[in-house]
Amino acid sequence: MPSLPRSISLAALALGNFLGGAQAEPPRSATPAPAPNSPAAIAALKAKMPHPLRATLVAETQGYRPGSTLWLGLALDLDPDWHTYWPGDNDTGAPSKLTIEAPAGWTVGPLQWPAPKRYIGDGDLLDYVYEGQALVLIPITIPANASASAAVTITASATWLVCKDACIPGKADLFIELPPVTGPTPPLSTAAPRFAAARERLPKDASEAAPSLTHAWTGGRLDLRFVGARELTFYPDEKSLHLQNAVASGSSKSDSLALTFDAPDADRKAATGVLEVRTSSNPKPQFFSIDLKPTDK
Amino acid sequence: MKNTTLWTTLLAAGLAVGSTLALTANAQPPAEKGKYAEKQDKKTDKKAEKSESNRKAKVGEIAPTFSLTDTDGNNVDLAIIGKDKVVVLEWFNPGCPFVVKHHQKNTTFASLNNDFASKGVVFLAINSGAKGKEGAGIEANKTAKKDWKIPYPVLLDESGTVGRAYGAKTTPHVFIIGKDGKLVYNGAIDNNSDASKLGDKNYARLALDEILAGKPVTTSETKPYGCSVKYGN
Repeated sequence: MPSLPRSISLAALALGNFLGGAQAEPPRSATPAPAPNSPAAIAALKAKMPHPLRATLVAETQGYRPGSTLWLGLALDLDPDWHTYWPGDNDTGAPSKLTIEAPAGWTVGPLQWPAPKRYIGDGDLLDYVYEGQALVLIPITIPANASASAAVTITASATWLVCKDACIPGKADLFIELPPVTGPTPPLSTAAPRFAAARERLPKDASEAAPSLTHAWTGGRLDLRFVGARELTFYPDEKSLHLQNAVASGSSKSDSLALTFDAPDADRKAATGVLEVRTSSNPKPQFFSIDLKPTDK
Repeated sequence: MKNTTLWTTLLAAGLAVGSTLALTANAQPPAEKGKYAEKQDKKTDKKAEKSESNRKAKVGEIAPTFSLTDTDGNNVDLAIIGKDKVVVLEWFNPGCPFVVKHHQKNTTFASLNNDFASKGVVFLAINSGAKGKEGAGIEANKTAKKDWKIPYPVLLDESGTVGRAYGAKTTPHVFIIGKDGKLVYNGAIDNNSDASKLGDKNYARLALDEILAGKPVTTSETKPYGCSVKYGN
């Protein structure tokens, strides 16, 4: 194999690091080990570093009950200063993919993604990302006549991209085993607080923002107003009309937000995504789903 | 005219700095280079230059001209190398896993070059990474070109001026310029953002087949995927 520059070796070794979750073997060599803290030693440490994102499959409850919704979650734990991508109209990166295999007859519902944060990289490149801890909610509907005689195993496979200055793709094959539980309320698991935290960042229906939230279209410009807000931020999703000048105009420290969009096309017809609202009276941000088509006025 | 003389002199000298001046100067290009007209921004205001509307090359419009140095120290001028040719620009960073995907794990760009270079298509890789950033600098790119056997120039755009003029966001990010100098494709190399697996649609190949058959490009704009271009602040 030809010798590669350090930057390529890092990418190649990092890729090898977490396929199957294993770390790369240190290279065997007859030469003496480099002095600690030397550039060579530091490069060797970087090449062996564990993947900066840990993905696990967790459940909100300690078991499953037929005739109810089981809440699973893809829990993401990222090292400081690393980020991974929300399914949005990102400038860069690659979307995460998650597939779930549940027992026959169990229906996996649409994934629920908590609201992201804006990340602006050098060159004014804007992405919508998760940092620190995040959890993607996975609702699974269990039919009432499902068997409750044995534990079930649910498997999932995930791929993602995690970046700091460099980007490292990741993947994991995950599983969770859940016993059947009787009684109306299965006990909560130790992961339950992560579900609560994730739900706080799920967008509510826009109708819940009435009458505080109003909007008006003027051609391609959408003016949003939320009475009492001191900060508004719009996160366009993957199918939204493309937001122009998003770095400067996607967030404002006021009660109004003026968003100018590209013209609709075959794939993009409406401004869709999440609006984050911060008011002076409420220390926690609120999130609302936005789905607004330009109107001719 | 003074400005025209200055412009011609800078190009003839082939200075890398000429590329920056070429994009910001209020000069008229000489008539024989008219195909790749440069933007006639009267304001050389930095804010205007960096704003999104000024820097994104649009499909159907004349592609921004440039003059950059490759990893062998040769000057490459788009107007000269691209005269009467179709040009494929590939934004490049040897440290990015998605570039590794298409140059090492798969032979995406090598295959395109094999199939189209003999048909009047010019391929250029451009690295707009700033000094000190991942994959930037002549050494890393020279080594990648050698190790991955890239048979076309790898150009260094460390100031990021050309990247910003095109609106290059990711590596890879592909732009295809028709023989008339107009941009005909802007977007991803293919339709699979996986770090290893290729998509079943290579958008560059589809576009080049249509261009060479004299047909309009059906899919002229897609969302590119990959690592961010490592611009400086």
